[in-house]
Amino acid sequence: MSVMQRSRQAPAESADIEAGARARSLRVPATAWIAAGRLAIVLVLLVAWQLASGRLVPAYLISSPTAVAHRLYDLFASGTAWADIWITTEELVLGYAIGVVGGIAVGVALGTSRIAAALIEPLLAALNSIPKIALAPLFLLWFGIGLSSKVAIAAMTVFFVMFYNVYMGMGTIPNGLVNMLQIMGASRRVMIRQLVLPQLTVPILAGLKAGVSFAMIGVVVGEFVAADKGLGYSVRNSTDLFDSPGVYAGIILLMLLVLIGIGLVTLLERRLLRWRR
Amino acid sequence: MSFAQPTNAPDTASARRRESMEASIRIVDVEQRFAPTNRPAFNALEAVNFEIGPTEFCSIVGPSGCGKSTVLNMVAGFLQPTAGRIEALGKPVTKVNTELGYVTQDSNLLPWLTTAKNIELPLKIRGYAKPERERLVAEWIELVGLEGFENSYPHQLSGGMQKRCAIARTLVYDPEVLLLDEPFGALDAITKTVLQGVLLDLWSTKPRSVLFVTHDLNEAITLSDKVVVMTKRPGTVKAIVPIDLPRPRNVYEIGSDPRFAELHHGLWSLFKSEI
Repeated sequence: MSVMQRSRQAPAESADIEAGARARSLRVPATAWIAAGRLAIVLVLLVAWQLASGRLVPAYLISSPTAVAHRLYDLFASGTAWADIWITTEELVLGYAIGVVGGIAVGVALGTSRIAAALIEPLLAALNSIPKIALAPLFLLWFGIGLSSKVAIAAMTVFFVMFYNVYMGMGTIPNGLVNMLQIMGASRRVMIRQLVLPQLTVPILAGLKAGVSFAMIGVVVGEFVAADKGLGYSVRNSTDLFDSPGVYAGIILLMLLVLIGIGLVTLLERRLLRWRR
Repeated sequence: MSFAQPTNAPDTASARRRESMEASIRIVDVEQRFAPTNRPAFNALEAVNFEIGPTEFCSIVGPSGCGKSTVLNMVAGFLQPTAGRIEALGKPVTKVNTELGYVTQDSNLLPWLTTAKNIELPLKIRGYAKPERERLVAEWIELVGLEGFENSYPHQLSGGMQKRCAIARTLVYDPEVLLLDEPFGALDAITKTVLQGVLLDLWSTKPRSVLFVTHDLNEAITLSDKVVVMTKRPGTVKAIVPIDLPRPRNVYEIGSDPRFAELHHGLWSLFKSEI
């Protein structure tokens, strides 16, 4: 009996071990190879860009990697980059924060009250159907040419992303857990703190991540429409002057800001989702 | 309300106490009518009447869908009867009843809290001071045998350990009434028996009213003072069968008691016509 069992189990076990060993032996170099491969692709594209510039496509349209690098160096060496980076970051962070907090608050509120949801959700859906870019000129009229108009546009864009993530996520809260906390005597505040927010960690993190690039779209649109400083303004200004290295330098800085923001959210994600591992 | 009990005659004293005290849970002419939008309205429960004494272990058995869990949910206050009334600890149940503990088939632990934090949560909600919380959590981790798993998350625990944690999390705040809804339903036979033993030990150390829903007649007989047998839908009480097996009971051996077999036979003959 035991011999039979062992002979039946043995192949399965060794297959498992083999599969595990294969996965291990593949995984470590795989990440290194993939990273190297990615770098190679970027390098090939940069070389192609460099070669195409001025030969296949006029340089004033696509600039060139060396010209852009040179411009970036100049911008930082002279210190003019920092003022634009600072103002755009400020608009981004403020708009993002307001949108995130507002989206979570309204999402939780409508998610916990059926009456409020029935009243307000369709109205929010209607508002959300307006392309935000179309509202940008209006917001500039209302909030002026400075910081607050960009913050407002970014906040509104992020708000809707966060609101829908949270509102939809509220439906995934298991009834059993709600009942359990009620029996324990949890108040509404405790329920939100102990159950709703932890349960919504994943949709909130998804909203936080998507929100970074949405906030940046809002800020840049605002700066395109009317501004006198900021990275978006500098991109727009360089375009008007046919200064293609300036355009690309600005775009790269915008991209870096978004990547830094997403990186910060990823750090937060690792911390908050520790319990899943 | 505390009675001086002569320690040499605990059985008669507790029997007298049971008779003299009000029932902990009283279910009077309860009806539950459901009106789903896509089907005609129907009565899930009709004319349900029974009582549970202050230290009584009572099981409800009945075919699946007979409304056993609905009775429990009404006692907990999650829903109101459409007719009749329910009293718990002398008061009508009109909203969620925080004076009792509830253990469900899904352990319903918070997945982002460790074992210790899950057990601590009700104490935190109820405003216990930190040293008191720490003392009680340590005590209950030991009582349910979860030493070494204080810092594990629920998904790292076996089904049986999750159940131990859920029981500790419920009893840690010492509710006067304990509701259990098929708590051991999803466990393997051995784990189930072990946990029945754990539950009985905890209950004997501090007897309280227990309302235990199950579809397992053996489990009902092993644990209970009385078994309420329900009919199929619309559920009503078919019979209330006292379980006169002596206590303390040994969950591993009680099945071979001849009286156990008689009780099982009696319950089964009531039960089978309802399937």
